[in-house]
Amino acid sequence: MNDSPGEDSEADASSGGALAGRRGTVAKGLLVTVVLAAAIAVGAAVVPSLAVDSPPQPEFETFDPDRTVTEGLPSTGTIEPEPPVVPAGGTVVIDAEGADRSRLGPLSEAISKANHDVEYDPDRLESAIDGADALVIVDPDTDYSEDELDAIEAFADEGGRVVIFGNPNRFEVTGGALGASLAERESDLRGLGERFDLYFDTRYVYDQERNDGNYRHVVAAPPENASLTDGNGSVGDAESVVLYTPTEVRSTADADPVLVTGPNARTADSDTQREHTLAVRDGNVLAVGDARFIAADRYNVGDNDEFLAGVVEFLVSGDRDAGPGGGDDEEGGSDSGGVETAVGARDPA
Amino acid sequence: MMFERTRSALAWAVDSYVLFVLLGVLLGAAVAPVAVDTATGPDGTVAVVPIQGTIDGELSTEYQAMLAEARAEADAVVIVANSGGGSAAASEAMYMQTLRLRESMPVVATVDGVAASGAYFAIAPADEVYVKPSSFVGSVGVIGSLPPDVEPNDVVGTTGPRKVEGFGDREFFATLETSRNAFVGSVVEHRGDRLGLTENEVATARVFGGSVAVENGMADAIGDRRAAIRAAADRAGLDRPSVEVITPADVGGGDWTATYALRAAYYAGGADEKRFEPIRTANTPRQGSFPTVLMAHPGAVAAGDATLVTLDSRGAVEVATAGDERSVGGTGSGADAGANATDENATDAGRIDAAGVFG
Repeated sequence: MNDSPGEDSEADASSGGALAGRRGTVAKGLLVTVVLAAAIAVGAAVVPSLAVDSPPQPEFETFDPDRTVTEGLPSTGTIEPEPPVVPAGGTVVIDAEGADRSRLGPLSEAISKANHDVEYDPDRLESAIDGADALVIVDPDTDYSEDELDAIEAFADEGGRVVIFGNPNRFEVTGGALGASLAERESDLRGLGERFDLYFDTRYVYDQERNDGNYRHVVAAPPENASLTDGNGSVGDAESVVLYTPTEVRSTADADPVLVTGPNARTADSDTQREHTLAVRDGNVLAVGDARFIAADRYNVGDNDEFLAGVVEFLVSGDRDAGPGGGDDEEGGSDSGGVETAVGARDPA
Repeated sequence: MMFERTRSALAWAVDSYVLFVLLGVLLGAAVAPVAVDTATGPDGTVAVVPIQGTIDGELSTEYQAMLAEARAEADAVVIVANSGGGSAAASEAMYMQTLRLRESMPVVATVDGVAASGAYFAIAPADEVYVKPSSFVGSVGVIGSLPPDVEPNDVVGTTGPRKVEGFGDREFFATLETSRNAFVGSVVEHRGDRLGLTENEVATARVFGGSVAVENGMADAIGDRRAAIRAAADRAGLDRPSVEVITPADVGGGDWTATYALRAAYYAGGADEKRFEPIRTANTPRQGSFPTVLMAHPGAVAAGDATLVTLDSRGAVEVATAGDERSVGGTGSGADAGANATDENATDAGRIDAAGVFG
């Protein structure tokens, strides 16, 4: 720049000759040139894009997360049996025949909260329930022997509370020497059911309307006035109880429904939509058509914790001290009335 | 003299109009074929695009390319579906592509044997669906394997409690349900008033025979490919459409030749530059959407090494030493190709085969 001031001045002098007095015109001319060039460049970018037929972009409304996302019911809370008027002590026997122990955790904990001991999978059922107040049976693979059935029936007749969690038949993947295979598994509750005039269906119930994120995760509710204890108890607060691939439970006697589905539920392989009874109570016996919902990751979905609180209240509010036959007579008629009497008789003891 | 004669003949030709008649005939004869073409030639194009086989990422990509070509060249599109479905995400992508195409031109689907699940999803936005009495449509739903309950274990270490399973059980079902809602919702929306089934009936994921599907609105009419082409042409206002069949090979899905060395030759080769060349194989069974990676040796390829195997888009294998063509129908043929190369390479070809080269 500064090396050759002479050249600069010469250039100024020569251009000064030709463009003298036209600096303004030159500047305007250059401006016009630049503006024109820019306009052409922009035009070159815009015009073809206007001419090019870009594919219309549909809005994929049916994929809108607001329409599609399913989250299921909230799972919070714990099983809080109430009222804690439970007499001190007592034992609940749980016969789960080696079922996943984690499945039983929340229920066992709640029974402990209700001041009762839990005895798992006794070697000899007859003697175990002899000293117990209640018996929980979870999804048995094999039916009980005649002796065991006699003992369980007598136990219930004496006022001992019996809760049965069953399942529909289902196919399970089993690994073997020749690779994985499907085996059908059934809750064998035929003998036990017969003793209490109960029938567990073998097919599952599904509901495409009221469910927890899947048609087989059925939402059920206790009918009005359903009761497991004195008054409504915790069951009265359970509005959305989710059972996971449940089966229907029916009674050939006059058991009372405790959990009923919505009117759109169906039994697998049937097109008939109707209310299905998923739990019934007949005196000292409560039968529920699902054993999965008590598991550690299911027990507090929706109002399951409220329902299970009701189950625990039912378990610990029996009246086994009334003596053989007495409980049966008292429980035989109206449910809530019978229980009230039973609890009333128990309290002073 | 000659000049005067010519001049008088020209004058006569002009005066008597013979010249003009002659010129007129010549001109007319020259234009006539164009006129014939204009009157009887095609007034537009209907493209035929197949959905054939299990739906995966690769098929979805081919479908996209085929539709892009159809969009550029045709006035209407007929989709010929013959697939039982496949990957959910790939099916959703195909649905979106079909819907996008339908925004710009008529789309008519025809079902060859079956358009179930993801394949039915892909044709759901079509203006019309043609079926045959023995076609099957439906299976509107999603299926997935429950996440394995294997955490923690003594074999694999992970950085998070869901690294192995991905989901908890309930989360998995909720995700499945979300996919179901997108699928069922799309079918119900696009079939609209034509559908005689409730949303829940569709969601049972039943499969319907063609005639039943026409009755309940899962399909529109009984008809074959020709009927679908006619319907597509009518919708596009074409009287004499030309029909162009687009296949995966037209969009780069085929029509190539790859030459590669057997592994033993590769290792034994003295070339300075050894490198891996990924290529795609056409007729091998699809194994996900990953490219099949072969080892090729540029130096050996250039030298026409006798141990080279040439594979082309028709699935033919040519082994340089044997010089005959063999079909690559499956793993067995792959092993054959190796066995034909040299005895020493037989075992090695088996290893390539096991590594998935031939699928």
